[in-house]
Amino acid sequence: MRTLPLASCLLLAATPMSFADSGNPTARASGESAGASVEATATLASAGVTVTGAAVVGVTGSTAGVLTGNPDLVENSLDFAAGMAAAPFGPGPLEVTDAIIIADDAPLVPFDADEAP
Amino acid sequence: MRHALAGLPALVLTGFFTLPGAEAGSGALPISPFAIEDTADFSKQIERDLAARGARVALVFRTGRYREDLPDGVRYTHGAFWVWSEIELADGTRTHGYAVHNLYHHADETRVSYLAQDWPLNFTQGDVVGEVGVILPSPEMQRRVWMMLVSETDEALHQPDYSLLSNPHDPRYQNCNEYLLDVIAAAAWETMDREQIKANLTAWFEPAPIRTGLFERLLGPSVDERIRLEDQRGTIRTTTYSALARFMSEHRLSSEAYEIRADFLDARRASLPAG
Repeated sequence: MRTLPLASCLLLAATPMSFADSGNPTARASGESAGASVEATATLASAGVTVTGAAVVGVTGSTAGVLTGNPDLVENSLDFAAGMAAAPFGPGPLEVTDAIIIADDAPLVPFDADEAP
Repeated sequence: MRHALAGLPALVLTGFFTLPGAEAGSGALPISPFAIEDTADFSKQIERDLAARGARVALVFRTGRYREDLPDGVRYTHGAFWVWSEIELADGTRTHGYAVHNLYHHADETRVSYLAQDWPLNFTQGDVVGEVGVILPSPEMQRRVWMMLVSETDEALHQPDYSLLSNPHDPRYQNCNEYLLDVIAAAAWETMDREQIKANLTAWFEPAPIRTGLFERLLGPSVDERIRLEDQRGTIRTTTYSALARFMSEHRLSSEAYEIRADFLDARRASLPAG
């Protein structure tokens, strides 16, 4: 799975992103942003928004058939979860969590709303 | 004289050619006008919109620059795949949401790109207008692109040599939008041969022209190393949201293309006192 090396400690930093063009906002941050991250996380938490560290779950092994005419794709796609590969890619609504997701290697910063200024 | 030359590009270059360094030098470095709560809300609003439409894969575009600073016809500066995914939370529980698959250039070596998966909040933190563009691939295209992304087969299509204005008909450079286009093309034609993809795109994909003057052409590469024009001939052309949306619609590779405006913009307006 692809991950961002600079990752989550910078993720919530309120660093202005002035020039995005393929630039990674987190990549602009410095070590000082860790403090900003804590602050931003605290702000979100005080606003009643859940912030949670997470990772995309690696699709577990299966040999679901992949319907494609390209042998490379077939070869590289054999480990898909059967459920997802066979999923109906249609207009039916999907569920999404209410949590705000950040990368799972985010520093664990305890936040106590009662102690917030 | 050196000072005068250094200042010139900031005056004559517009759109993509306007440089953050030049802006910083003039004390007008743009910053995101939004509170992090708003940015987080907007990321969730986009997720819910996509989920309500059953989108397992969508192309989403943001702009990190104000519209008036972009060339005519260009509305967004960065695009990425949003992929509905199973997510393991820090406490071990599993849920669903969107993971974002990007091509980014490095912060220091800006001519070199890498592929990275991050999250909707990362995406909206790079937005300065509160609006994103969306292209929903057709269900079959979603399935094909999803397979490529989850298996990381798309990495074979990644060209690390980055150019801000890469020509999608030429294999030498690639930017974030061209990466999206190449993956879409690979899925459409079911080939991972980038040479073949470029040949097909030359025949079928019409990139957006970027109007530039002689000064801009000459000075662009010298003031922003991300601008490399060796792959351009005649009018500069590159991949944009509009060009991709048109291409996918014309060839029935998409089911919808639309824009999402952040709810908080209207909420803020509504809360203003009357009069």
